[in-house]
Amino acid sequence: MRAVDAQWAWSPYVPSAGAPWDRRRAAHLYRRAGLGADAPTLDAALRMTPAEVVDSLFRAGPDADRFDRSAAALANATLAFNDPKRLSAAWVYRLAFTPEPLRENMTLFWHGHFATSADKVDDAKLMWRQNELLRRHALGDFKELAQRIAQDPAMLIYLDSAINRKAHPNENFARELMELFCLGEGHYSEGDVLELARCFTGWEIKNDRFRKNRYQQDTGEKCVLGVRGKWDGEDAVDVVLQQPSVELFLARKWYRYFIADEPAPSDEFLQPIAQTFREHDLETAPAIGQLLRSSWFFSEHAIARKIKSPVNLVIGMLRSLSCTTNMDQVATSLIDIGQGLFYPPNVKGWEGGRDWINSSTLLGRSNLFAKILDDKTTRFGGTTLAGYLASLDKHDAQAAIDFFESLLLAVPLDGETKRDLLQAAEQIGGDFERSLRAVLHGIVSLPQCQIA
Amino acid sequence: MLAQVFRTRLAIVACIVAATSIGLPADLVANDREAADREATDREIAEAGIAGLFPRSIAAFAKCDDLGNAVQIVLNHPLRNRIEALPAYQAATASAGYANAKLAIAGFENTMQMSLPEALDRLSDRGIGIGVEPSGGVGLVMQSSDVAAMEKFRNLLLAFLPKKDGDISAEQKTYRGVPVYLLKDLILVQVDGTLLICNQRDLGKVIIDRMLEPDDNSLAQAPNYLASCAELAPAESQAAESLAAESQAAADDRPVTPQNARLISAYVDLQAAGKLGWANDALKEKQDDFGAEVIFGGVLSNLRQTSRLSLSLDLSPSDIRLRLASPHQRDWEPPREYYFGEASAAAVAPPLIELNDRLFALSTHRDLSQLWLRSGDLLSDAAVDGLAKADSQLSTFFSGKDFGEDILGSLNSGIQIVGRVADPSEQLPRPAIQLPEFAMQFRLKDPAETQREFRRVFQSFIGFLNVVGAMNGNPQMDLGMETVKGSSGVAQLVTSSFVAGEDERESTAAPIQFNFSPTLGFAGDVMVLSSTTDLAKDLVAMTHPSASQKNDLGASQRNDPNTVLGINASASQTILKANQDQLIASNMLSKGQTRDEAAAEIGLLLEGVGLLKDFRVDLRFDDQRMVLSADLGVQP
Repeated sequence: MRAVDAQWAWSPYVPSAGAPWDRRRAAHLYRRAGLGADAPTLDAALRMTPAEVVDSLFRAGPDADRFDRSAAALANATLAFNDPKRLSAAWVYRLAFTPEPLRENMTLFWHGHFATSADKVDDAKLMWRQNELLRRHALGDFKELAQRIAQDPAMLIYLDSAINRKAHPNENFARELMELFCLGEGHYSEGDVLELARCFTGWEIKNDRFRKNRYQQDTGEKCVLGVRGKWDGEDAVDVVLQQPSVELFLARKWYRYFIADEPAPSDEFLQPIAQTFREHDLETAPAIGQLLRSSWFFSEHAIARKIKSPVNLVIGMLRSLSCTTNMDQVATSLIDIGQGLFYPPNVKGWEGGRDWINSSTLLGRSNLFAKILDDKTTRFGGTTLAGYLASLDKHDAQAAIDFFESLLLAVPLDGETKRDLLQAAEQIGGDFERSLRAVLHGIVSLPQCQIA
Repeated sequence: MLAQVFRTRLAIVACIVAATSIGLPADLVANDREAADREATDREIAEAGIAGLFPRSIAAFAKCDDLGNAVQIVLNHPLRNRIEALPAYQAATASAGYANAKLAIAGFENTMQMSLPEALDRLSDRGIGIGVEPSGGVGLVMQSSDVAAMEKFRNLLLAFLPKKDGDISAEQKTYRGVPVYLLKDLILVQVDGTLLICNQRDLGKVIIDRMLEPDDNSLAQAPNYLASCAELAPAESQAAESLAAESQAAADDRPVTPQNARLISAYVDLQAAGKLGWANDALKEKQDDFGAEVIFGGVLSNLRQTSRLSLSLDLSPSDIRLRLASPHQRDWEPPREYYFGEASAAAVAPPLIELNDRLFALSTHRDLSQLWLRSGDLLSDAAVDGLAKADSQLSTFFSGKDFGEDILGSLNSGIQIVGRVADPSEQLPRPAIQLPEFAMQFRLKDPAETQREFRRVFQSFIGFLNVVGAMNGNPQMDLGMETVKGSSGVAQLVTSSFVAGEDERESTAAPIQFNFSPTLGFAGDVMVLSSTTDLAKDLVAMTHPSASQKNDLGASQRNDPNTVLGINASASQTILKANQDQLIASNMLSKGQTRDEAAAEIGLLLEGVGLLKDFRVDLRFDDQRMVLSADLGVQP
């Protein structure tokens, strides 16, 4: 990677004979940025330039408002039960059907970044408020998002910072703000943690609302990251965000989220993205846009270089095949295979990469698809899988395998695997629907399908 | 694809019909003597009915003598137009499934050369019956006066029923000169207008023997079966009502629309059914579940001792009625006197509580004290252990008083439960999920002695809930006392209500707890335990002194209901409508549908409930019979 020219890597992708704008690259873009796309969406993408498709991912479509209202009503209805697991299902629904998949994907990114677990917060309403906050700022101003998250009741409850008195400043939030949210390890000292914690004294959660208790606020002078002043919490967040390591810290996280788990790129390589982020006053969209439009993103260095997260795997299948199913079941199963929405494992969020896969989660992934495909509510394009494929002019198992491969897999299947799949379908015989579902289950359980 | 299969099979049917009429004419021509013998046999079979074809050993038998009328009632029902106007019905008629069903019906009608209702009527004008043997053998018999129609139907079945592996047509053999068709798992036989489909050769032979030579040893002559038929005879008033309506229609020169039709009469020989393993668990001497014992204990104990069970299902334009009957004897009642009452008194339920917007009401006779104290005789060891633990805790809660003897013993045996649609439109905070109000009403044997005890325990209980609620961050409850004037004098209420937090006072999506304001009320000898203060106030206001109640034991008859349940469909619809958003959300999540699709499905559910009127169940015992009746009323 050292030999790669960063200037070229982050310059806009121009299709060429060696790297054509084809179905494979369009599917790659949607898999990484758009949570997956069905065949008509990919066909439409190929009629546009890559840059136009990326631009369209940043724009809210004509149905976005209507969907947003409907999804919000759904989430609000689930709040009546005060069960975060029901709320988790409402988010799965949103991920599966949203007309703004990049925004939703970024909401998921921020959920892992500002990790907050319902296991501890135990209040669906607060988790939902935080989720709406993340969605609202998903592609917007990071400074604003950081300020809001610093006062978010769910976050402060999760980090034991619901009560922060001047006599005993709580260091948790101060530490995580620098280590996990903005700067990363090695860019602050223990003294900075103590001083920063003093800035947040008097910040409390009462009756599920943020408030400042002026009697508990330390109004004295603090020295945070070498800057002196009588800072309160908002000032302190600004001081942290002015640090030059902010942009590189986030550029690295986005690289890992959108491009490749490994190898880790050098600071120099990421500098152009970091620079764009800072130049746009920490607005997220320009940096993400540069990343998604880049030659590097569409190169072989990025395609099939990530292990799919459980959400990417399942939602990708649902979106790619216009599949509707029991969302409660999907939400519960996501918890079982390591990515329960609203249930990140700890304050660091999901580690991702190779951590997604072990013998237990691999089996869990396969079992989840078995459950989905066995569920009588599961439909494809509102009909059976056979009916859906027939509407796309795919009438036999061979055509179905090729179709699933083009939508779901980043690496092509070898002939032997295809023959095995075909043989498995033929062994089931008579019931065409059953044999198609068995083929689909076989494909989504393959190691190749775990890679994006 | 289905259409193609259907067309191919129709062609096969046409070939079979042609072959039958061309190749076998000589077989169909009988001489005069044979014809006369056959007519005599037919007469005997008709007199014995379909039950006359089955052996006495049959474990369960069901028949329909009036399918044509039942079909007419359904087709001519005023609701039909409303159902056909539903958007869901319109959508269903546009589906591929509907088109396939229409094609299948058209094929059937084309083969039979008559409409489907006419064919159903014609093919079953002498009845349809199904019997199950203890060995698992099942036989279905249809009898028609139209031999030619039955023959066409037989050919249709031969074309469509699965054949033995690899066979294109059914294998044919003869038994006593009768052609028997051997299919994959079934045999099919037609003798004149009688058609038999059976899954066991031995049972098939027995039935064919009776089709050829009726005898006096069939199910039709079995005393148990005859007694069952007598139990199921329609009430005289019902028959007279039906006859009068039909006579009036004839006098007015209007088409006669059937008023009542018996869709199903069924008989179960419980001893024989036991060999099939039916309900063996439920009919255990001791129940595992306390709730099941309270609700069904008496019924199940009766079924354990009786020899038969009879069932009928009647249709009329206004309702669907199910009736289950079995013999009953007073000496079968011990040790369940808590359910059946003591020998000297009737175990009669108090009247159902009548309220506006009533969702449901249940009234029953249960001596809970006796049930509690006799639990060792009635429940399994595991259930008794659970009850013993509860008894110890409850006795502590009631200041050391014996819960079974002193607390439950202070209540009379009549229990009334009622549910009502709550009206939260004026209420703030308003809960996001709107639940109905419900209450239980008892009569105290000695109000002066026990009111104070119940009041104190209720207050302690609310305090306990407050402590637990505070630990879990739930809203707290405020206790209060009120007096209201009721029919039986001044009533006293111990009220409680949830206190809303500052930011929840105006909420229209408050937590579910705000559906409740638990209240205990006393009016004379009546004690009301209600989920809301409003319902408790209404109940104590309408309470009458026990002497004027119908449940005064002296005025009750032995055959008055022991248990009555009434459910009102329009109130159910109101509750569902109030929670429509929640139902839509649940549907979206459980099926992944869009909001519009989910709303359409829930809308259909609401419309479906709107077609119903009410549902009533009552259970009666007298010295000879137990009768359980269920009546589902539909909108006229």
